Amino acid sequence: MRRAFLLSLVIYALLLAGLIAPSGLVPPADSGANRGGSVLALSLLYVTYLVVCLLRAPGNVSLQITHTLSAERVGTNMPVVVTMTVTNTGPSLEEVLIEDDLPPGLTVCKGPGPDGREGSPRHLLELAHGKTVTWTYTIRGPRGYYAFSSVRAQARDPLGLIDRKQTFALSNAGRLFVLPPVLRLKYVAIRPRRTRVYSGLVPARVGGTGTDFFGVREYQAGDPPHWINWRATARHPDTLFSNEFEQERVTDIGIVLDGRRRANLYGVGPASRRRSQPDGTHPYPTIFEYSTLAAAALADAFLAQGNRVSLLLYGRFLRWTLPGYGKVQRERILRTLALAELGDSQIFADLDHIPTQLFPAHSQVVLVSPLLYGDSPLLTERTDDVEVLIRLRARGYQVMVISPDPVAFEVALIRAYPAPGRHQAGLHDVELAARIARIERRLMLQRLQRAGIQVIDWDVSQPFEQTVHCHLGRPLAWQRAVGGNP
Amino acid sequence: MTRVGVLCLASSGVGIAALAWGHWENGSVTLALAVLLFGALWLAAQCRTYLAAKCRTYRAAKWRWSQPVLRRLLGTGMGLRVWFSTLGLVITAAAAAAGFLLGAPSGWMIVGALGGLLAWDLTDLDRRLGFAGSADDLSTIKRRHLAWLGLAAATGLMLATAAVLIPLHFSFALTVLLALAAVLGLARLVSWLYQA
Repeated sequence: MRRAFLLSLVIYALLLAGLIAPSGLVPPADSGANRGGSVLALSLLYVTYLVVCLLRAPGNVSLQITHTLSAERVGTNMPVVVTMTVTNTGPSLEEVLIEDDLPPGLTVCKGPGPDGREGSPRHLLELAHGKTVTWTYTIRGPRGYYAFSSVRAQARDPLGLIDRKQTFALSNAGRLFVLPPVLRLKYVAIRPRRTRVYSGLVPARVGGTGTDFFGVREYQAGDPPHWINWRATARHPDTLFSNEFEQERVTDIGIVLDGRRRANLYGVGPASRRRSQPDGTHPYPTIFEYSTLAAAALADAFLAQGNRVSLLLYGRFLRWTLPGYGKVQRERILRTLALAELGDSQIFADLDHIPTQLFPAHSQVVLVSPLLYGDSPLLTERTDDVEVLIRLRARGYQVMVISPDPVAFEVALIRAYPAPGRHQAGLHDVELAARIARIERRLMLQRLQRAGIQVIDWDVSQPFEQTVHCHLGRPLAWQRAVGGNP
Repeated sequence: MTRVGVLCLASSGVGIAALAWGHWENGSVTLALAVLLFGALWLAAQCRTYLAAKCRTYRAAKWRWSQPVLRRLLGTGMGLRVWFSTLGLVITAAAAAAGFLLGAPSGWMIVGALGGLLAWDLTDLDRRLGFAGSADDLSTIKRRHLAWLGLAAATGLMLATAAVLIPLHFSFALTVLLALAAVLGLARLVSWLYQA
């Protein structure tokens, strides 16, 4: 339309010049009227062009669009094939540009698609009445939820001067969940104070049938003969004693993922900006991505052990996934994690507002967070996270904290992307600051451990499976025998 | 360079050359030189992609300093070409009108204006073709565009030439009346066609 406006402007300017010339405003050499007429004649060149464009201007754009995705849920950066079918139900279009509105974050894969042609969400074509065209292209993207809502069409006359734009809402709007990667953890040892009645893999602190030795009691009718503790019986000839084993049951586990922006403000400083791509994206994950990864891996492991697991996203608002078992619950949790994003809220600025009533009494609560503590300038005037966790523990919950180490994360980032001109002396300052920050963090973690909170300090440069295996792996038999369970 | 790009280059070159020659013949040396200067810049802008590619592939170390300079001067996107073609349309129209008013040969002026119009149109076609997916068949669109452009250019050229060559003498009042009627008629025509 800007072109049409420009052309109209040129025409009117020429008409004006043609009118002014004979009136004497422009000094003519001999015959002003003739020269003005020539300028008017010149405008015919442009008028003809404009009239041709107007005569061939496109009519109403009426398209029927079908949009399908090869998968509704995929892993991070896995390719998804988008198939678009467009049928022209209106008048013929001599030139139309059809473009799929890609949700931000998704990228189109280069190279030939499944049909062997280079895929693109945008196509310039001629579309006769009733004609149908189909094309495919491949996309991929980071963790998130993506909704395909509309397709834009822009029809033009053959000379491209007059255009009609129209946006078509997709009737079968596609949606795509890009789920976080799920690491397979072999075993995650937890000891909640209360378990459920169904048998599982979590030690229940109750004697009965099981595998681990729990104690010795007087023989009861029905006890299998190989349970009889002959040594104890030999010391008390009048009574028979049986071994008792610790029951193993399923339990309730609530995973809390800290999505507060202020608690995840790591890797966003100048070093992070230096590692940014020209389009603003980062080639390496943020610390929140590591938290999400940990939450997904833990949820998967707990569900695989048969436990009832729920998830609470704590950030701009509360997003609660009701407790449940099995594969369906795994899918629900992964989809919720796909939606997880950082946010700020005045109410949920600190962990004080975790709704504890969502978790059954004495159940296991797992918090995944880098934690805000001490004299952090990001803290509000109220409490730091350590105090809240200690209070949670005092209420009887078995609390576990998985904390991706922000100090190691930030230091690694600064080392990898030093500021221009910053040499060894500058990095020495960074090392000193990191040492102080590490000491503060270690003190904070010790406070938590002294309160009976299980803490896993995760240096994100190490694989999460390895960290979990070291801290929460199945204890060896002799460790179990001497009560070395976590 | 694409075929449309070559056509665009040719039409702008012909247009600029015609205008410059017309003004030169008329004795307006300054105007002719100004048109030539703009034409040189316009041609450089159109060859930008080609020159930039040459810069990238030129490996001589002593000329490597020229790469960022040329990139800065010539730009890196399609925008420069579009801007120059827009300026080109306005400047060729203005130069042709000035030529008519100063008594330059009308044939050269009309050819110059037509060259500017064609170059402006073809630059936009090149830009639009850039939106297409790599698998799109653009031959039909190009053919249709060139056919309609040829028709519009030929008709416009005939009408303009006829209007210049056929001597009609009107009084000033009648000229003003006719011009106003043309303006109003054109505005009505545009609005009617839009609604249609």
